[in-house]
Amino acid sequence: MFVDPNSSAGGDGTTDALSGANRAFVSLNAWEAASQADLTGTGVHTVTCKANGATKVDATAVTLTGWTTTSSDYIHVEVDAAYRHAGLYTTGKYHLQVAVNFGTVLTINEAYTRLTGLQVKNTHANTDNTILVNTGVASDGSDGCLFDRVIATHSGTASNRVCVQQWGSIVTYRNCLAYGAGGPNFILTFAGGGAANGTFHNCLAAGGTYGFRSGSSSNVLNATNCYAGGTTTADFSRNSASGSYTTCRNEDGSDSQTTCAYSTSAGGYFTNITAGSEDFTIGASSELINIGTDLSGTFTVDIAGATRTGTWEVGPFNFAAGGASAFPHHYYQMMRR
Amino acid sequence: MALLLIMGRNNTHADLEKDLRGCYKRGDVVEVFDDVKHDGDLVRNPIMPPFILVRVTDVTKAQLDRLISPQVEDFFDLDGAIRSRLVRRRRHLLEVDAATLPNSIRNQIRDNRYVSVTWAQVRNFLRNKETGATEGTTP
Repeated sequence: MFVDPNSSAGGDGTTDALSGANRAFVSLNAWEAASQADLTGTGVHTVTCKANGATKVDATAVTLTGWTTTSSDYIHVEVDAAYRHAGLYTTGKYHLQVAVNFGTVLTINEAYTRLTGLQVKNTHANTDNTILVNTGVASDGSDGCLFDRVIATHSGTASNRVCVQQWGSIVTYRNCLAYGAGGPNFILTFAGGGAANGTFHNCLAAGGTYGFRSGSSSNVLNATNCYAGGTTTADFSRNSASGSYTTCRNEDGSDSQTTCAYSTSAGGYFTNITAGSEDFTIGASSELINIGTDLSGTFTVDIAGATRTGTWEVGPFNFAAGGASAFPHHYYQMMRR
Repeated sequence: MALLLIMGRNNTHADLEKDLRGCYKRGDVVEVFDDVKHDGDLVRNPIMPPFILVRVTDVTKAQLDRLISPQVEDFFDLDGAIRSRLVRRRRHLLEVDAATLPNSIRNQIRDNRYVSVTWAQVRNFLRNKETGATEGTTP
């Protein structure tokens, strides 16, 4: 199935064409309405998002619910590589961006859902979450949801505006970015009697009250190669939840982690940390280079899709040996336009 | 002008509660668009199942955006925190099967899955599931 906001309403979504009966769905929301199903025994249901025209924004909030999924028959929402961000939130590529008062841009109620390459933004000051995961606990206790190379950001400045909230549920986050919220960027919430279990690999959170936060000691929070900085309360706050940190860094030393400045001229040597213009690519002097744990048995690329080389970096961006980013900085700038 | 993308079938789920709370039902207003999202050329771009497209000629998208609000309810979870949960995917539906729907509109929906109407023609068939009320003279 295909989604393209340059298509017209009423297509059946079976091709990526922009006209004709088989034209792409005009929005992810339309795809979801047309595709709700019992996926048992049918394999992975993949929907590929493109933006093959002047319109890059998909502007309707989406809720994934009313399906039946299993660990081998699940929903996979992916952005085609040609229309995908390169690690920076950009309006020049496919993006799900909505201003909905007191709501959530992307709500996921189905276990095992996978997101690849999606960028999601909430532009309403009064809206609660950018992404909400509320699947309950995956029935067979397997890997749950997987978010890969997802960027979640938020315009709301109040302290209860959240980039990614996980109510119960099991989620693995890989090469994900969350920033700009007035409140926590990633938060695990014990909900309805279900503990949240979040595993973070090479993720970065910046600004707001918390970077990575567990709201309850009943949750599980594991983080490897993650970085958080620029928060007002604590970069990491496991809050007595079980789990561990492995080769993580933060700005404030919270949860007894080694510090690394959230700065463009020290520590992380990020390209830009100015609110609204964030660019978390790292410079050659960054302390995040070559200190990470090798996770190549699980995945091998960075947030931009570049193959990770040498000793791994902390955070979502690989930095190639020889002083050059695996994706040259001018490429990121070009992709951002 | 505005376009209403209407669900033309009942999606179902074996779990009755999930069926009611999570599945789109016939008549639900799935999405509201500016009229640029379909030019009315049904030969080039026919409206395919499961959708019905309704063009409302004398209102704007901004006036109708509220029709895609879900029906939700608040509840206390086991931690005592107030949460919201979905009751129905959409609070509003277009009664495409109403006996009082004019034949001209019914036939266009049946034949083309598309109809162009005024607000006055459609408002009495746009019903709030929660209150049972239909729409007023101004959207």
